[in-house]
Amino acid sequence: MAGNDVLIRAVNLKKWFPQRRSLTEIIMRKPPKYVRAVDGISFEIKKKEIFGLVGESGSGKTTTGRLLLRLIEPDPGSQIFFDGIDILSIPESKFKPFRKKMQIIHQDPYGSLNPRMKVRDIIAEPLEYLEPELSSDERLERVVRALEDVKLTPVDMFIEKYPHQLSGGQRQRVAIARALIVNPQFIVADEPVSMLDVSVRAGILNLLLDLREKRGIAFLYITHDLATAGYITDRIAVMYLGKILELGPTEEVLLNPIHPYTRALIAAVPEPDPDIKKERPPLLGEIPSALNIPSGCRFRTRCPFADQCPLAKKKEPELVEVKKGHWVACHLAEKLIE
Amino acid sequence: MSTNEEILRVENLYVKYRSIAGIVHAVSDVSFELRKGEVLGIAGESGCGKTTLGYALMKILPPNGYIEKGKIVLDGIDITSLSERKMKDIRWKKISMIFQGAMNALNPVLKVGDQIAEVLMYHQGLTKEQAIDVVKELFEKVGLDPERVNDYPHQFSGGMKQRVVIAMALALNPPIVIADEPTTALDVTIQAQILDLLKNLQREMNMSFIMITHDLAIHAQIADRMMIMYAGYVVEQGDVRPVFKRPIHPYTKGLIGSVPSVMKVKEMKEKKKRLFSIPGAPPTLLEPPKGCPFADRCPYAKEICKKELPPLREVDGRLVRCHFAEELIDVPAEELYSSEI
Repeated sequence: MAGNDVLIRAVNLKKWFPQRRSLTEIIMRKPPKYVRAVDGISFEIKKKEIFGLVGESGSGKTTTGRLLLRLIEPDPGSQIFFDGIDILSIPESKFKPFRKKMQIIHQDPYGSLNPRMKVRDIIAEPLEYLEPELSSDERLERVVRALEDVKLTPVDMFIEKYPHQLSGGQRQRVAIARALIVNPQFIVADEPVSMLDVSVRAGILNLLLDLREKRGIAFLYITHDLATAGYITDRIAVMYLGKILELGPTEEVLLNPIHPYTRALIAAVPEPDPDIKKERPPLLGEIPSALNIPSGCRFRTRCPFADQCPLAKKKEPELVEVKKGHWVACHLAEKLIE
Repeated sequence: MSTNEEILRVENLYVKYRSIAGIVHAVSDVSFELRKGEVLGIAGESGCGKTTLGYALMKILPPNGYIEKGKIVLDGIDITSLSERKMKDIRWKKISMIFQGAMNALNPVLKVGDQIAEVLMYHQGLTKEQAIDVVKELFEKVGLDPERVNDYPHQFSGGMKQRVVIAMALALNPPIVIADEPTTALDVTIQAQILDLLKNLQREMNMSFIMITHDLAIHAQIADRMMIMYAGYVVEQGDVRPVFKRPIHPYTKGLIGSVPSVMKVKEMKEKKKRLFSIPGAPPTLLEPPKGCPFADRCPYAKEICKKELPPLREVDGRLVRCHFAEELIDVPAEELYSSEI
């Protein structure tokens, strides 16, 4: 499965968060309940690939991104390989070289930048920890280059500014520059455009596409928005309650979805074209709590085919390859292809 | 069904806010009419004045906001000069609003049923029991279990709370409902449920809807007519189909070309097409530019655009605020915008 073109390989990635117990529960020695945020998922991200992770809130997509970067420590049994190296076996103290290779861009360009710092200091900050040997001239040079990379030019107009003096799109560019300054090979972009206005969104998405093309950076693009994911990703994984239900090339997954959840999700996305009105198959109800994941197939409580699926309650469907590169976790996958 | 019967008319409306930094020109020279049974979409980016316009129509502007001039004619009466006492008889009954984020503004210590019943008791003089019966009917209408009137907001999910808020806006059977970003914080499957619900209610009750959202795809799906706002002004207004298919104003062209579509994934990837982005940012509304508000970002701007504000005028069956509207009709967005980052 793993070739030389694989940059990240996650195997059985898992994170259960224990719920806080009340005093009585502790006295009664009740076992803690777990939020099964990420419940054993495996996937690969290739070099120079933009890999999309889509799902509704509570599906575990953000946790997955943070696990890959070891911002949260995965549960025992999980494995993450970066360029073939098992990074979870590396002790925290020796992890620093990897931090340079993997960076993150957050959703909120208003909250993720320190309001008391100037753009130059915000962007240079990662260097203080990751490349402390640099002289201040070298550091400045890197900041200037990062600003040019994200097209905040002329650089003089931006470098001495504070975040509040910038627009939302410009702030997100600063956040991207901060991620770029250590020359990473991989960036987790967690909903990078969801808080931006429509007309500036496209600029940020195009910037990510360019960074991939020109600098060969691979991205994990996390979003709830299938349309932006469709635009920039090469492959997509659809998550639901901590599991991947469908994974494949973007066009395949969006235009020939197999899993009933993916189908419903795509049908629910309004198209920006008054001539395309969608017949919506009803997807009833809402995503169940990750504290109380349904037994068997975790989608069965909302699945329109559940009553035709004898295995739904008994067995959790595995993610299997039903067409080349197109993986689906559904007992009825074979039937649904037709 | 949409008829030509006009039920609301706005004429040259100007809304401003006093602020420490000066006067904010939030809504400028906005005119439109709303017909019975139609969905009018108001689109635009943050700060374009779309929410302020909604507040002005309800006459619930914050204390530092005021209608400077213009008319809002509802049922033949200009409500801009109406006293608050008289406005209380109109608000919620003749025109109501689903506020952005209202689902998180429900009173957490009151039962949801009681929160709606209050409105009915005040406006229709019902007893508590009668009011609760009406609330139960409303719950059914918006797809909630009527037995849950006695629950508290925290017992509801986001989508269900939004249904409560919709029930509240519909409580007095208003002929006009303004919905301000009614699905923005919801997951996409829930968003689809709420949009379906709104559309069905609007048709069943033959209401007129003003849908305010930045999400153009929602307008494409549910609006009959739409207006695009920019820096407080309406820049283009017309039937949804021509606005999407053949936008005239350079801002509309750029905006529509910046929205990705799931169904067009293949075409975009095969042709390696890029979305457009509009360079720059909207002007400050503290000292709006003298000329066209979009001139600074407009790839087609000429001398006159910086000097003179173009009027909103009829071009090709719709209203456009651009000096060069005629010339621009057949200019594709590709010629104006690049996919520059």
